[in-house]
Amino acid sequence: MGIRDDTERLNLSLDSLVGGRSVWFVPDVRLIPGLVWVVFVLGGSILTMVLYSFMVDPLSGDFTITFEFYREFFSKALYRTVMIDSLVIALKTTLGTLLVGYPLAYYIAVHSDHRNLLLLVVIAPIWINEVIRTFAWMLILNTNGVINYVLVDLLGVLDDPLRLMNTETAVVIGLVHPLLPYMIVPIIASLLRIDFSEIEAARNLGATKLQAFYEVTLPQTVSGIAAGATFVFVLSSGAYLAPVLLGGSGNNMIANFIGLMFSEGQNWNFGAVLAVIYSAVIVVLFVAVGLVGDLELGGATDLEGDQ
Amino acid sequence: MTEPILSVTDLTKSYGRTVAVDDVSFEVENGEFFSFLGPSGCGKTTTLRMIAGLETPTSGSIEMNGEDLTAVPLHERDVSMVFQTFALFPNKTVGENVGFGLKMDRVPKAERRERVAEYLDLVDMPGFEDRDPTNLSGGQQQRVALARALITEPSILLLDEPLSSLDLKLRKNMRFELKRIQDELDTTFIYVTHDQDEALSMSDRIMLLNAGEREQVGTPQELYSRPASEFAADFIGDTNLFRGAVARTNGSTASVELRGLSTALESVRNPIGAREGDSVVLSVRPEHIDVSTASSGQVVGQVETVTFYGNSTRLLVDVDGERVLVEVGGREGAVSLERNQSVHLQFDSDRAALLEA
Amino acid sequence: MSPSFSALLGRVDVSDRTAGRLQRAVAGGVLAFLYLPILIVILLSFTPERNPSFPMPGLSLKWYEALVENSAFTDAIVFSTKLAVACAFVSGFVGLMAGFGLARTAPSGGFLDERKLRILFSLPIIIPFIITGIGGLVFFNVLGIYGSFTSLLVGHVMITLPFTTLVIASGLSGLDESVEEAARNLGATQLRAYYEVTIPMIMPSIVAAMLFAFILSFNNFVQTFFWLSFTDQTLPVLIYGRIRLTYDPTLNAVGTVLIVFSLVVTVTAERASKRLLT
Repeated sequence: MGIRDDTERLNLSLDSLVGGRSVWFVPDVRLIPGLVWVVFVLGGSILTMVLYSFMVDPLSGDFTITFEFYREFFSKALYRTVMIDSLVIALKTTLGTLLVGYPLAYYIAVHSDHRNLLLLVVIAPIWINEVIRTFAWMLILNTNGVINYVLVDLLGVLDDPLRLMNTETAVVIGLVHPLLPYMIVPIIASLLRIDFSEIEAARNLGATKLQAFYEVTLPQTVSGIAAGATFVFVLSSGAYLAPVLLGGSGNNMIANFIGLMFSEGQNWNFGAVLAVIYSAVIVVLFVAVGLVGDLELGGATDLEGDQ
Repeated sequence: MTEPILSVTDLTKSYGRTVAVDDVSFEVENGEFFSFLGPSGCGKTTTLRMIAGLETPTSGSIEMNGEDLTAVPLHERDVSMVFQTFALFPNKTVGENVGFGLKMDRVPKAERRERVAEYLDLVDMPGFEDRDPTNLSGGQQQRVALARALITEPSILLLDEPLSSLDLKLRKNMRFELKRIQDELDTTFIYVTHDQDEALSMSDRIMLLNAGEREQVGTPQELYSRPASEFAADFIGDTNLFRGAVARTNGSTASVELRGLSTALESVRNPIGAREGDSVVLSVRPEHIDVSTASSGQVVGQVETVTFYGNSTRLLVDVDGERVLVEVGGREGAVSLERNQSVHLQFDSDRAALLEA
Repeated sequence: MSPSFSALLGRVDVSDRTAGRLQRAVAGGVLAFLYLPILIVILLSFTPERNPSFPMPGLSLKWYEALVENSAFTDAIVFSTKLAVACAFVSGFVGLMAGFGLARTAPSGGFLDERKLRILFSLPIIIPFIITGIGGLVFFNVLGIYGSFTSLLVGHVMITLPFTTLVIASGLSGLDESVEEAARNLGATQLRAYYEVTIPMIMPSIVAAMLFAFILSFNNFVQTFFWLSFTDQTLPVLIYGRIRLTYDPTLNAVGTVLIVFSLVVTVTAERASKRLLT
């Protein structure tokens, strides 16, 4: 009797737990473990990082507030240059993915009979290990790599091999490649929303194919381009691997500097300042693009669900 | 009268500021086929779900056999439900679906198997135990859902628009099936529908709901011939609603002057206790208006349209700018009437319903 | 500017056939750009030579043998697998709970509505990896778990949670809620209804979510690089170290294994999550 009562009670309390009652301001108890991760782990990570940007050593209990580290950032041109260089590389990467990605997106959305299959083919590479993919580009861009083999040995177009590795171009190529799906998928989504009888109407009114594209199709894909560009820009501005492996020592980006401060440099405070300022730039960008509301399911998760 | 099996008092359900069910009270007799009828959003499904325990009332009480039902967790309530979408378990066979309630009651397997066969028989689907429910037709899924709900021998079976996802012909067949099963088992059925034909043809009694409020409870005949409100008169069947005022009262009857038609109806039953000078609405069913080409009748009008329905013919008659809908039985030769013809109309005062304006 | 540019475009016109060919050619070129690097890694994994050279003098499996015999690689594979499996289960479970919560929360209105929750749960993948990477490094130090398996697991669950949560939530959103209600109505407790009906119905989504979490954890580099202590190595971090050191043909073999493995797992996950819809 007592045991039965207890199991009943246990059952009931478990039931109310899994049954989704709301607690305090959380609309459903089942959200709590996930929220712990997002609020406690992610929030905690970011909070402690922010603390380090203006406290000397909060880990050891030294909570002295100082803006010395921020002053250092703004007083040295080097760091501003790194920040700006990173954003320029991100911009080039964004343009690159747009130029390379748009035609394929257009083909898949408008002309392909195997749209879903091709979409899968485009998206699949994002699941391949990024270290291996960057390594693959090293094999291609090296002095004795694939490109130079084709140009020098096979075709004889050049006498001396091109110096491709350890250049900014190599970094941009190494970023365009993995980020291409993030540009293509939103563009396909926006292309699929277009009513193609509009284009037939434009053609019917005497527009050439290119005119119809420029006047009718392109303007209607601006939202897709904006979404794709935002993803690519954000992801590429924070790139870590490509600059190290393809750009060499001369093409370090912001993420490499931040990483350096936390490993070899052992200057956590200054690394935290760089991270906070970089984050601020990204937040401003998000707000400026006005996509904050629409991003929830775009990008990476879109690549998930819509495949 | 015997003790009601279900008695609902002042039931209210609100979601934030929207009130889905507003202070509704009613009683259901044991063995009755009781329907909740009303347009979508009238609160009928919410009321049903509160009885099942799928929603918690904001206030009010639900008592079953005199015991408070709201204190009983939903999985322990002695009520079963048939869902609009049938809600069969796609991961289980037909037999496992039907036997699910028994499994939850820890009925031994052998007995379960027997009872499943018995109830599949009842719904006319013998031998379907091992079939995959997702491969059945809509009508068959419906029967499985019914067997699954009935096998636990609930005191009350709740049906939430169970026929709405079937096609018209199947729907009509299933009405007879449901009535047959209810007669056979003598279980109390509470049936939710927005379809007045369904409610009128199957129910012992109907509760008409509108905008979360109870409009009227009564037998189908009462609802049809003695509507208690303009909404009830208009929602069930077709009717003419004439605005007017009470000229005189005489005991339980009243004489009503109709504003638009410039005529009066004498000795109309006055259950609402209207007094002289009160503004009222008079509901007159189309079949309670006689039409003739001879010069006898209360008002004269011109035929606007003639629509033939097989067993009857309907006329739309223009009387001084007001449109009056008239129904004539098929054998009475109304088909010979034509557009723009002058006709005389005679209203049946005995069957007119006097309503509050 | 715009009308004149448009007029300029008006002078160029090609036949449908030429336009079609051109589009196919460009699309093919971009696809080649996407897959050529991957194919080169696979191709070079079969070369018998130490340094890459073309044309390849023959085929050999010697780098695969070298991979199997190299305990640094096999240890890293074992460690990464352990971590990814643990991550798939924890992230799958937490994501299952959160997915339920999300699917059953009002779409808008209230302090935390579904829209806001979706943004909140997407944050770990919206925030740049370097930020979560070093943020985690500092935070795990504060908690005193830096470098432990636990800290890696906690971190990997954080970065995979958006995927598991949203995949499961989308599986649940296509579900007829009255099926679960029917089970409850027939006498099942909430737990029993999950076990008997709801969980089996969304099993494909759960499997897909766990596979995605597994592969994301297994392949993660940036955050793991900052979270790892010196005692353990995950496979991607080990590969990175080797690449920086010198060219090693074994990398092509391990790369090929990773490529094939990742594609098989994610295509399986993809099909599992789709099975729900068809």
